[in-house]
Amino acid sequence: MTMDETDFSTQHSSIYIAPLRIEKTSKPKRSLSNASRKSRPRSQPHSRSQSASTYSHTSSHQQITPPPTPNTSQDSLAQGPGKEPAPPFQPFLRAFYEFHPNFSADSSTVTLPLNLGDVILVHSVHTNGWADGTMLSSGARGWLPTNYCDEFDPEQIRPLLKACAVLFDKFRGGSAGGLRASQVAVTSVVAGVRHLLETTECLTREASNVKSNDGIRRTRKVLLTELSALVKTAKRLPGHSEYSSAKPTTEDVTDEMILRCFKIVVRGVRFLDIWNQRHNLQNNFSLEEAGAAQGEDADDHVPPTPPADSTTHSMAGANSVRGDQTPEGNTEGHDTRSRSSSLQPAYALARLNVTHDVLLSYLGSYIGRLYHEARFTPQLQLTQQESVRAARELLAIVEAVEARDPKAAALVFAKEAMDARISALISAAKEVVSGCGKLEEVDEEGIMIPDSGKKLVDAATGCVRGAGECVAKSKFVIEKIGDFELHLGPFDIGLGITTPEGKLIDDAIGLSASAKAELERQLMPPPPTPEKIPPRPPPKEDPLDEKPLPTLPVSELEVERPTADTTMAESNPAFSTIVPGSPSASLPRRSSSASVIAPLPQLTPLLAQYDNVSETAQKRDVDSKTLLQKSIRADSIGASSITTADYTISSSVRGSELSMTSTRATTPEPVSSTSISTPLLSLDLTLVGSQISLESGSGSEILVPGKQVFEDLTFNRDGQITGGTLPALVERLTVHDSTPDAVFVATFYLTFRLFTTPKEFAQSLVDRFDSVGDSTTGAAPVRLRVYNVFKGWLESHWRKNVDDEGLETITSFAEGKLKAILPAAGKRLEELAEKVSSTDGPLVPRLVSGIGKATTATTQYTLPETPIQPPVVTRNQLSLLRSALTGGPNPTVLDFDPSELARQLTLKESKMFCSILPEELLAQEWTKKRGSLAINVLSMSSLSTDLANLVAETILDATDPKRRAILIKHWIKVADRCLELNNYDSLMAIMCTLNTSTIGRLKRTWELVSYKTKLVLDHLRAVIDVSKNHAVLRARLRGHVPPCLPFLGTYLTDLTFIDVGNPSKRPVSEGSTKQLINFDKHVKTARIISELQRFQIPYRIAEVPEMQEWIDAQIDRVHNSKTADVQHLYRRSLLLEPRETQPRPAPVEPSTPAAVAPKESQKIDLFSWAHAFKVPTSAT
Amino acid sequence: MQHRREYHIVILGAGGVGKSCLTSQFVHNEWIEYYDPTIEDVYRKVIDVDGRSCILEILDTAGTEQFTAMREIYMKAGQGFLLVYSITSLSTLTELSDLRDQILRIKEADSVPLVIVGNKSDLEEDRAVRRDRAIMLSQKWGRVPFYETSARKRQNVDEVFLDLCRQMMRADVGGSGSGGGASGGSSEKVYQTPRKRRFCVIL
Repeated sequence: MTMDETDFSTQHSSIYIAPLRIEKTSKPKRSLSNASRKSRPRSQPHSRSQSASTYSHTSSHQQITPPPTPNTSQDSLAQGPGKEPAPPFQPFLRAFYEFHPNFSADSSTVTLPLNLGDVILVHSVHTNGWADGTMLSSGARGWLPTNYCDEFDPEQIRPLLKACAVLFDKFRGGSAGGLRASQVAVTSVVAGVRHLLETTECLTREASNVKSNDGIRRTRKVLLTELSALVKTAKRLPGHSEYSSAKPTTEDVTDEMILRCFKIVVRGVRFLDIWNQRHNLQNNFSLEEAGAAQGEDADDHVPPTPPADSTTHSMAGANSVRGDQTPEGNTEGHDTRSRSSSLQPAYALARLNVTHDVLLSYLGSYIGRLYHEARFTPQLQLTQQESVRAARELLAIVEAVEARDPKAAALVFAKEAMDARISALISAAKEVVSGCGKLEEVDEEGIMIPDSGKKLVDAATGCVRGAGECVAKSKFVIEKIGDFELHLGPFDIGLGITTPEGKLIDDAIGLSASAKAELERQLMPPPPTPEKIPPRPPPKEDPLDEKPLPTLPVSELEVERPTADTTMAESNPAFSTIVPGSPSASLPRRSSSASVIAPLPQLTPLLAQYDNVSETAQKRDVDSKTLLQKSIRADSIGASSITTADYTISSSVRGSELSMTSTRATTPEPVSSTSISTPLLSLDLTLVGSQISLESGSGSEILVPGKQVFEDLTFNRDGQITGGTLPALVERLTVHDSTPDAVFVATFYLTFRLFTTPKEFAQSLVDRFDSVGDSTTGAAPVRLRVYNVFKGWLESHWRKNVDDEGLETITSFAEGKLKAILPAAGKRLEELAEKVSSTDGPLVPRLVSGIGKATTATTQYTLPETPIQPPVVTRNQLSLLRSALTGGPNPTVLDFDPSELARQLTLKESKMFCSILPEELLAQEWTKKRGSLAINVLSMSSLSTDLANLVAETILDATDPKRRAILIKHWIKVADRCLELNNYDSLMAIMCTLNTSTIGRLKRTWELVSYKTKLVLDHLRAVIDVSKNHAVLRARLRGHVPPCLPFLGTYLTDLTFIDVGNPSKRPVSEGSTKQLINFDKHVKTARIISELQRFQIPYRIAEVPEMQEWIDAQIDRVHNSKTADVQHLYRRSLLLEPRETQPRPAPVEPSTPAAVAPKESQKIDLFSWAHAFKVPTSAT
Repeated sequence: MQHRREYHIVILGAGGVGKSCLTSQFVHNEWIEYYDPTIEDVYRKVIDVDGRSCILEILDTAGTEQFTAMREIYMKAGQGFLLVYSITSLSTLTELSDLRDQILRIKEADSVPLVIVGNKSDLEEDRAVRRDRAIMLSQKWGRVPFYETSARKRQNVDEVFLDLCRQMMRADVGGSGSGGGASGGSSEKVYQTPRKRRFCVIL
C-alpha cells in the first residue's frame, strides 16, 4: 500500500473533461435490460446465498440498507484473489403464487399474470421487487412481482435453462453471430434436454423410470417432440451468407426458435415436476395443488405495484405486513435488495428521491461510524463504497435530468459540485489511509483514524450537501419539464464506474485477509428461519423448507413503508440503520405517505432557519460555529424526537443512526418548504439534535479553522474560480482542508500550458511544498496534495515533448525535498518521472482520451438489444466492390443502398471523431499552418470537404440530366439517412454540396428531381440552417443521446471565439491594475471540450470492409484530384448546362472561354488585374 | 414600434486574420465576464444606422476555414460580406479574390455589399501588405470600400460594420435590379474612408 492510490486528480479529470461515464446511463429503454443482462457477472447458483450474489453484483450500488450483507461484501471484495469468476447464468423464476392483478397500476405498464408453476425468464429486477420477465409458456413479456416467485434452478434442468437463456440472448441480444452461433445455441439446448433426461435417468425409452410411470413417459415424449421442432426450425435459418438480404425471414425464424425453446423449457419443467412427484421430492406445482393458494383473499396480498406507479408503492408496502421482523429480515432484505438491478423505467422524480434517500442513509451511517468507531474499519470502508455508489447513481439520474434540459446551468453546477464532493470523499478516505503510514500492519482493529477523521466527516457532509443541492435542482428542472420515464442501468453506474474506484479504495485501505474474514463473519446474517417469512400462507407443501423465497422486496418495502415500524428496527438490529432515515426520507415526498408520521409542526420555523444556515454554508465554506450555534438551539426542541430515534435504534448501530440523521440535518432541504411534508421536518430536527451530541462528543475538531485566504483569486457568483495568479491557483490546487474542486483540477491539467510553462508550474508546486513549512497545521495534507498533483500530471496528463522541460524540476524535487519528508512518495514520483521520459503517451490511460473512452463506451452506450443490423449489401454489390479493388470497373454510388452508404460514412467519420484528443482543441491548434497536433480534427475537416467534393463530382460526372437527377436524389437519400443516424457532420458535407451554386444552377437537372425529393431536401436544409448561430443544429444536439456525430465546425468556432473573445488576463477587480490569469476562459474552453467529448461514442454499425475501402479510394481520388475544387467543379457545371443568355452579366469567372463567352471582356480584365496583382506580390 | 430590418453579414477571410476578434469586438463593446459563444443571439446586434435601427446577424465561421466546402452555405445566408485579411500576411489578401468570386457566383450578381478589411493594423512593424495594394484591389472590384482596422485596439471596428450596413440598406432600397448602382453610390466614400480613418498608418 503506497500512496499511489491517493490520486484524486486523475479521477477528477475524467469527471469533468469526460463526463461520459456518468452520462452513459441515459439511454433508450430497450437497451437497458439487456445491457445489464449481458454485462452483469452471472454466477451459477448452487445455493441460495450464492444465487443471491448473482444479483448483488449488479445492484450493490442500489442497496438500500447499510451495512452490506455478506454477499455484497464478498462482492465488493471479490476483486481479491481466490474468487473465480462465476459462470454466466440467466436467472429464471418460478411462480409460487397466483398473481392476477385486479388493479391497473398504470396503463402504460404490462403486468404479467402468474399462474402457479409458471416459469419466467427474468431480464431485470427493479428495486421495488418487480421484475421484467418473459413468461416462457406464452412468450409474453411484462412486469411481475418477484415476491410471488422463487428462483428456479434445479440441478437437473439447469443446463437447459442456461441454454435457453443463451439462445434468447443470442437472438434477442443482438449478438448476431451468424449461423454458427445459432447452431451452437441450438446444440446447447439439445444438450440441456439430454442432461435433464440423463440426470433423471430417463434418457432412453426403455429406462425403468419411463416405463413405470405413465406421466413421465408422456411428458418426456412431449418434451422430445418440442425439441425436434426446434431443431427443424433452426434448419430454416438462412445462413449461407453473412450479408443476408432476407432479413425478415431470419427474424421470423429466430422468433419461432425462441418460442420453441421456451416451450421446451416449459415441457422440461413439467417433466421434472412429474418426475419429482414420482420420486417424492419437492413438487409444488402439480396441477392438483394449483388451487391451493387461490383461496386467499387477494387484497391482503397485493404485491408492490410496478415501478411506474409511485403512489401505490407505499400502499403496497403498508399492506405487506411483516410485523414480526426477525433477524432474517436482514437476509431477505439483502436478497431482494440485491435482486434489484433497477433497470426498469421509473419516473425520474421517484428514482431521484429513492436514490437520494439511499445515499443519505449510507452517508449517515458512514458519518456515524466515523464518530463512534474512530477508526477506519472494513465496514466503514464498505459503507463508503456504498455511499459512493449511491452517489454515482444519483448523479446518473441528475445527468439524465440534465440531458432533458441542458440549459439548466444551476443543475450542471450542482452536479459538478456533487461530483467533486464524491471525489473528495474518496480521496479523503485514501488520504486518511495513506497518511497513516503503517498500512501494511492493518489488522482487524482497522486503521486508527487520526484527527483527519474529521476530514472524512467533512467530505461526507459535503456529499450530503451536494446531493441535496443536486436533488433540489433536479426537482426544479423536472417540475419545469415534467416528469419522465428514466432508464438507467446499474451496470453503467454501479460496476462501470464504481467498481474501479471501489477497488481502488480496497487497495488503499489494504484490508488484510483477516480483516476481510472478520468482516464477512460480522456481516454474515444469522441462518434464515423461513417459516416466518412468507407473505401469505404457502401452499401445502411448503417449498420454503428447503429454499427460502427470494421474498418480497423487503428493503424496498421498508424504505417506502409509510409507517415507521419501530418494532422492526428493534428486532432487527443489523437492519435498523435504515429505519429512521430511509422511511422518512423517502416518504415525505410521496403523496400517499404524508400523513403517516406524526407531524411536528411547531418545529417548522426552526428548520427554516436552519435551512438558511446550511444554504449559506453551501455557498462558501461552512462556518461551523454558526452551524453549531444554530443546531444547539435546535437541540432543545428536537430533544423529544431524539428519544424516538433512540427507541428505534439498537445500540450497536446507534452511531450510524445518529450520524445519518445528523447528516440529514446538514442537508439543505432540497424541496421548498411548502412541498416538504411535515414528517420530514420532524425528523430533520431530530437529527439536528443528534448532530449536536455528536459534535460535542467528538470534540471541537469538527470546527475547521479559518479558511486560508486566497488573496490573488477571483470568483464568480457560482463560486467558481475565474482568475488568479499562478501561485494562488497552485495553492487552490493543493488546499489543505478540502479536496480541490474537480472542475478546477481538470481544467487546470488540461489548460495550464496556455498560461504557464510546465517548468514554471512544477516550480510553483515545489514552492507550495516549501511554503507550508513545519509549523502549519495543514502542512501534511498540503504536501501530500502537492505530490498528488505531480503524480496526476505525470500519470495522466503528461504531454511528451511539451512537458519535458519540467522534468528536471520534478526529478530534483522528488529526490530531494519530497523524499526527505515523504520517502515513499518521493520514490514513486522518481519512478514516474523516469517512466514519462521513456514512454510515449500517458502512463495511466486517460479517460478523456478517445481510445480509452471508446472501449468503455462500447459496452455502455450502444444498444445491445437492437441487434447490429446486417449491412444492406447484396453479394452482387460485394463482388462489384471486390473487383473494383482489384482493378475492375469502378462501381458508382448508385450501385449501393443509400442507407448503407450513410452507415459506412458514419462509421468512418465516427472513428475519426472518437479519436480527437482534448489537446487538439486547445488554443486553435487545428488552425496552425504547419506542425499542427490536431491530426484528427484536421482529418475530419478534410474528410468533410472531400466528401462534399465527391458528391459534386459524382453528380457532374453524369452527362445526362436524368442521370444527374437520379444521383441528386440518391445523395439526398444518403443525407437523409445520415440524419437518421444523427450524423450531422456528413449531413452537413453532403448538403453543402447540394446547396452550392455549382449544383444548384443545374436547372434542367433539378426539373427532373421529384417534388417529394425536394421536400426531403427542404427538410434537411432546415436542419443545417446556419442562421442564429446554428440554432437548429444546436438545439438538436443539446439533448442528444449518443451515438451522434455532431458537426465539428460549431465546436471549432465556439472554441475559437472563446479563445479570442476572452482576454488571457483579467484585473483583480474593476479598475485594478493587478492582472490575474483569466482562468474563466479556460473553464469555458474545457466545458466546450467536454461537450464534444460527450459524443465520442462509437456507433454500433457493422462494417463492410470492402465498402470502406472503396469509399476511401473515392475520397482519396477526390482529395488528390486537381479538378475537384470549387472552381473546377463550377466550370464543369457550366459546361454541362451552359448559362442561358440573359440580360444579366455573368459573374466574373476565370473559366474556359467557351463557358463564359458572353463576358469575355470582363474576364480578360480580371486576368489582367490578377496578373498585375501577382507581380508585385512575388516582388515583395 | 418601427419594424427593424434584419441583415445578415458574413465574415470571410483566411484563418488567423482576426475575424473572430473583429466580430467579438463588434458584438461586445468590452470584454464581458460571461462570454458564451454557443448561445443563439450572441452574434446578433441592434445598431443605429443614420437614424434607422436594424438588426445585424453576424455569421462568422472562424475556426472552420478548413471546411472549404461549407463556405458556400454561409455565403448563401449572407447579404453583406466583410472580406478580412491581415496586413501581416500578403497571402491572406490574395485569397480574398477567390472568396469574392464565389460570392458573386452564388449571388448571381456582379456586385454585392462588401467591405475589404485589413486587420491587425496595430502590428505596423510586421506589415507585409502595403495599403496601396489593397486599394488597388478595391479599385479592381469596382471601388469597394476598404478599411484598415485593429480589432485588438478596437479601431475602425464599428465603422466597418456601419459601412457594410449602409450598403446593404441601399441595396435593399434600390432593389436587386440595380446592383451596380449600390456599389457605385458607395464609391464616393471608398477613397475617403481609408484616408479619413487611418489610425495606425505611418507613412
